[in-house]
Amino acid sequence: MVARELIPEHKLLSESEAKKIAKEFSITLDKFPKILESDPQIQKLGAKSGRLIQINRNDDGKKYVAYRYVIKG
Amino acid sequence: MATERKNDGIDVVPGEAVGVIAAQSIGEPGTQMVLRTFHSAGISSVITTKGLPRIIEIVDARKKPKAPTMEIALEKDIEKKYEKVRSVWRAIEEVKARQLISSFDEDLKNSTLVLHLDRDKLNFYETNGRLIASRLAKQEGVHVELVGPETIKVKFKGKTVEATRRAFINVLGATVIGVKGIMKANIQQEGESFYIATFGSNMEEVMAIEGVDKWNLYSNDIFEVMRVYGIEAARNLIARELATIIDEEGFTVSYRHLALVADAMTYDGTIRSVGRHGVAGRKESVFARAAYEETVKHIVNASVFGERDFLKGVAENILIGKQIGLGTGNVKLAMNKDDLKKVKGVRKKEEAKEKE
Repeated sequence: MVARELIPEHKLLSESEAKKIAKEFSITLDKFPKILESDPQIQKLGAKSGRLIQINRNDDGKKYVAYRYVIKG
Repeated sequence: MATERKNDGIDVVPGEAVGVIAAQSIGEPGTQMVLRTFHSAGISSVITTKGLPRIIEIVDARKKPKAPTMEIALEKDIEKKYEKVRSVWRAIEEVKARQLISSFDEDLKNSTLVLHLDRDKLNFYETNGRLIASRLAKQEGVHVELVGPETIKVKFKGKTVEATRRAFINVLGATVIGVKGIMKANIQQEGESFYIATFGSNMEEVMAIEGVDKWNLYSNDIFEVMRVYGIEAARNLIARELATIIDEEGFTVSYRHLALVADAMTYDGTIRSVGRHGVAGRKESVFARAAYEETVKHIVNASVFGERDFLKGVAENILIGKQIGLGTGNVKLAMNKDDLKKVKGVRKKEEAKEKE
């Protein structure tokens, strides 16, 4: 059983943190992969559109950080 | 140098065409996979789609898999006690009204349906007439009455005989025990603890059952996982399902290729198929879309709506005969304008300009 591992940790970033990360990648926030406001994990965090979410992924044992931008929907 | 710093700890060189490599890495073993699905007879009573058909199913983002299955983990305090696991299992496997009756009398003239329940079957499923009557009462527009311990009378006020008939068929097919859509459930053992493997999937309703570990359900229905656990779980499921299938077929494909496919499919927060209706059909560039499929449609639409093409992608640049923006073609020179002023010749020219 590995089902629990399917759901990575979602973390809501503050707006200043989000700006810093966008600058690091030298892109605007809306260029990040998207996540819907209606997504169960976003509902849990209570995040509104326009915020950036940090996702602590674990791909086949390799740990790294990914980001998603919350959009309406 | 700045480039050196950026390259530190990166497995792939900037400008590498990772998408093409991923496509080839999955496509090559794909040509060797069996096209037909074989049913493995024996121990496993749960049938699953395997091989290439399953890969196509995932990549095409079909709304419902051909053979949905679930693995249901149980809460820590009951997962080692067989009797308690069994009672959870009872609440999961679907039993329809039709399966519990010995016979039924249908009176279309008076719009009544009398169900004669089978006592042996009731005992087997550890239920009784009252419980079943209460479940049947949830059906729309029917009036359910328990006339004897094993006899249920169903009344329906339909305008036409056809409507009545249809309602009665629905009553016979109604779920009276368990979760709708779970056609079969088995208790499996792993080490000391038990879990339940099912054929058929319905995460929303299984989650509501007591004793089930809500956040530890595995389903191969990607859309259902997206609805219940979110897009990131769906992304992981896509990559993991692809990896297991390829592994089962005896091939080795690096996980990052599969993760890339999953990333592309879930980029916009919902699941998109790879192909005309999904990832490829939603490219920004008009030429890239036109070069793939339905050429005329895309060019006509682009001209009607005045679309713009920035010629950044691969397909566009091949079309117009320019160097593509990959590998060495990805590198561009930029100049710092302030540094430019330090050059003698330029300074003189600018000074001359200012004098004018």
